[in-house]
Amino acid sequence: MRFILFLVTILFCIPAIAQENFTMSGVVKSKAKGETIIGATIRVGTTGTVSNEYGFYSITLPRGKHTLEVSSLGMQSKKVEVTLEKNTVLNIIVEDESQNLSEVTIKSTASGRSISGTQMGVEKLSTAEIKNIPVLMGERDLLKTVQLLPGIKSAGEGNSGFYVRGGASDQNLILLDEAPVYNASHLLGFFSTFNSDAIKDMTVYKGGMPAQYGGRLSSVLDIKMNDGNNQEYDVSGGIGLISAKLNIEGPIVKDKSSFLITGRRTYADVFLKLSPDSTINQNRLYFYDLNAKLNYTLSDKDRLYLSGYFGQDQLGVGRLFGLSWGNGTGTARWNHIFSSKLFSNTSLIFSNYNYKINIRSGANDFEIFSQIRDWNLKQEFQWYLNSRNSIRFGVNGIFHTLTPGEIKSSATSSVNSSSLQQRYSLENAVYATNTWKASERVSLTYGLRLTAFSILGKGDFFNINTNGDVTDTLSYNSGQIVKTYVNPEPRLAASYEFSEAASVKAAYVRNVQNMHLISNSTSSNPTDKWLASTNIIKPEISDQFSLGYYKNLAENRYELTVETYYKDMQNQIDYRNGANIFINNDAIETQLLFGKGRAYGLEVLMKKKVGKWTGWVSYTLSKTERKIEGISNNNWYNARQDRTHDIAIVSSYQLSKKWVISGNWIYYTGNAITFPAGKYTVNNQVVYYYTERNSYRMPNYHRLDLGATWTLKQTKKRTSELSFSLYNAYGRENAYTIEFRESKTDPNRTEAVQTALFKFIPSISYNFKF
Amino acid sequence: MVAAAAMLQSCTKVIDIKLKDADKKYVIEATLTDAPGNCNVLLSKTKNFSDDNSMNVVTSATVSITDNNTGVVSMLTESAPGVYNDATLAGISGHTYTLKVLIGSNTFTASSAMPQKVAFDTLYMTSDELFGDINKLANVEYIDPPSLGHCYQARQYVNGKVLKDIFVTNDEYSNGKRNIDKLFRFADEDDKVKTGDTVTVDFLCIDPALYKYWFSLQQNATGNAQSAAPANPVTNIQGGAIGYFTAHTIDTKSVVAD
Repeated sequence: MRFILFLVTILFCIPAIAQENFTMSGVVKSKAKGETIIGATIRVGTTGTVSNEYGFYSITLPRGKHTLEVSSLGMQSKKVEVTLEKNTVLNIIVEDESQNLSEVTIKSTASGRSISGTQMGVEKLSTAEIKNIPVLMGERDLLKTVQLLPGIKSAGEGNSGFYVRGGASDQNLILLDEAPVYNASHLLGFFSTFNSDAIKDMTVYKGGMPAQYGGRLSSVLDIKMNDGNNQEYDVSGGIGLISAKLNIEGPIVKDKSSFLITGRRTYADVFLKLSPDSTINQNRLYFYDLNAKLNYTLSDKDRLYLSGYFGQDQLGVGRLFGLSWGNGTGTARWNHIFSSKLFSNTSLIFSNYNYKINIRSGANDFEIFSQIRDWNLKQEFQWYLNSRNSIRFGVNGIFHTLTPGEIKSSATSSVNSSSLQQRYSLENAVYATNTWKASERVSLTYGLRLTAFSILGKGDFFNINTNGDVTDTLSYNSGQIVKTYVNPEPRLAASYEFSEAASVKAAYVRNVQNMHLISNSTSSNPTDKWLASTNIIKPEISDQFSLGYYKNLAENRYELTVETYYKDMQNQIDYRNGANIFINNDAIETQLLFGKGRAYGLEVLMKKKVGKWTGWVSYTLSKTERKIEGISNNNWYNARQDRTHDIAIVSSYQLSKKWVISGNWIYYTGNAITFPAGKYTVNNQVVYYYTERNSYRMPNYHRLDLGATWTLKQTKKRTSELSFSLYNAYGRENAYTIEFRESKTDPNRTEAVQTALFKFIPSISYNFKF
Repeated sequence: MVAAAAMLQSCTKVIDIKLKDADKKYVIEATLTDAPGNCNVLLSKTKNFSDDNSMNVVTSATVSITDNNTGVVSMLTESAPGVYNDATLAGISGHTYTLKVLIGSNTFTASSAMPQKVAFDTLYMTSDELFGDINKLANVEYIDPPSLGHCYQARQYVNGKVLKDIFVTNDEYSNGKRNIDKLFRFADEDDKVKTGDTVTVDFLCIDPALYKYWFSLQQNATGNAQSAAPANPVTNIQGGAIGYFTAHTIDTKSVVAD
């Protein structure tokens, strides 16, 4: 605690203020639902503030009369006249734009990106914004839509996994109401775990991560669930070709408390069951998930939130093989307003991911279980010190328990019951950051996050030689500290405003990652292995420098963003040739290699957020490489996610009050991939000979998706609509995989075979609210 | 994974890819068993992907196998182009053997320890369903000894014709147990085992280094798209050649499929 105070003290260069000032504070809420509004802009003349993640704002102004202009995306702008004679609490209620039926088109005056803030490398998406974007199987999905933004690349066809600025897919911190989600995909990646009906808003940080976030190298995806309508009961839902969902919310005590429950289930398996063929109707393939939230206003100063998520996937082939996996998270948060300038939040967070495999094949009758479980406690303060300085500081402790693998078998099974050692670790952090408006034009954010990752006993740890053989085993008792890695992570950002419509920003950020995902497959598998740092697996470290230019054009109707970055990564992990990550051995390090990475690129985004026609064009030019001892003769080689060009054009057009049409076009350079340099015969079969890692490319990818939304009915209380979409409208056969094999027609030859997945996938879904 | 994706929709086609040609490497496939008549060494070179699949054999090499425990050196003779053998040489469990191959000025060596023999108890056929397809599969039954570190390979023949599938396993998860290994294969309708076919299985006890070789070959070098990082299998040959030298025991059983 003393350390935090010290940090806080050094962070202030508080200018003494002679003028008599008062502070106005409160919460920004929507009129229809009472939902708190995140990121609403409150402007008073030339100064202003933004509501925080709980809708709280605080602004310090001189005594006298002021006009507050409040704006937020999807909300009607509002002017509020105030006369400040003392510190004042004022809750601001804003109305939804869509409630105004005579004007259907989005007409927000809020420029989505704040030209003036120091934050860069950030993208925000709300559920309302993605509503009309056509998607695979008609399932609206924030994680897939975010891949259409510059610097964020899809992990493959229809995949909810993604790579940010050259980082690996495990380097994204995905938070749902602050709880880390370890596997954000359903159905092997074709759907994300986030049911858009339950989501309020999502913010992606690609660079310049604020000090309150830490633990992953590449990005932070901060997803907030809806709080629930505290004005009246709402039932909404949707029925699509492969899934159905239902959302119920309403007040417990009007204006004070509310609840929300959202459920979703796919029913592809229902069709499997209809098959008369017993070999098909015994196959299982489905997922479901459930979001629930409860919030209660205890007093003017206190508010309590409880939120939870639970999702599960089931995959099975007859009785032979079964795989189930799922995440569960729970968050309890308490907001307390100490004063009009000091806001506090305390969170207790639980997060769990596990999978279970069942195999029943003759004498091989067993079950494998693996789990990762976190308990996480956070305390944060936001101190709106004065009109020039706002400070955020806090502490965070996470206790991780990893169960890498447990095998349970029956007495007659040919497999022995066994279990790998559980691994325990404690991830602690303290942070403080100040945003200082140095002048009308210059703003500066400077902060530090200090993390200490302690690996705890009980367990055996190892020393390993360069060949990957264990040379020594070190045993630790329960609670004994094996090793602590302490890493300071500076976070710096600066902005300079040329005018109200143009600015330039620069940032430097260091991130440290102590939880690592090991995968040796081309697609993301539910059984990919999470590992904590050990005495051998060092924390991954990245340093990112970025520079950006921001301009609003044509009276704020268009916004242009150009960002460039360079990222250096240390202690990157790869596996040895022939590695077996399912090894029944505690020394997983024997299967791994370590090295470094670098990534750099240029990102351009031109966005139109207002008018009948909205959308964006995004372009990314980038390079991502790795250098790992023991791979490609220790030379730099392209990382698998290295793609030179990435283009996305997203647009939607309001044809009439009833119809919205939309389209996306996506183009990218094929991923780097390893192809054979030759072949030979062993064991009477052709085997391929390889020289360099990832020296080839998959064919370039492109696709057009079309969508249309037909509003059947819209009144203040009830809405219903039909959504149509056509994925891959011109039927491009994009290569999902390329395999090499002995030719079926001429066994004396070898051939390359391309598999494409989705061609002309139409879908229809019906959504309603009453 | 791809199978699950295929349940949704997929289409495959043969495509034309220009692959760069690389420097050729020597390939050594060397086998010594505990029964005479199985000591074979095949020498070849890698070929370009666009070439045919015939072996690019290497002739006039000097090939020897030394029993490290006794010091006895056996020189192999070239019986056919690229095929070197010794008709009488048989290995002994517990002994380590060293292979030495001289090709021009290149020397390649490899060592392999012949494991203790584990009895091949039974071979029988079962009918199994996989993704709606019924296959007759061979089952190999044996009892793994109590100590850890045994590795096994099964080679399957149908009516005397060897199958290309590689079956390797070890006792990591099943130490000391009665094992029934089902030899899974995904066969086209024509390649399926039919009633009346004779199925023969060679049951081999292999050196752990060979388990690693076959495991890594299966994972990374068969041309399938599952591997994120295709690579050459982990060889036990020193000197820059690819391939393997195995000293293993062999036990063979046959069964007629019903």
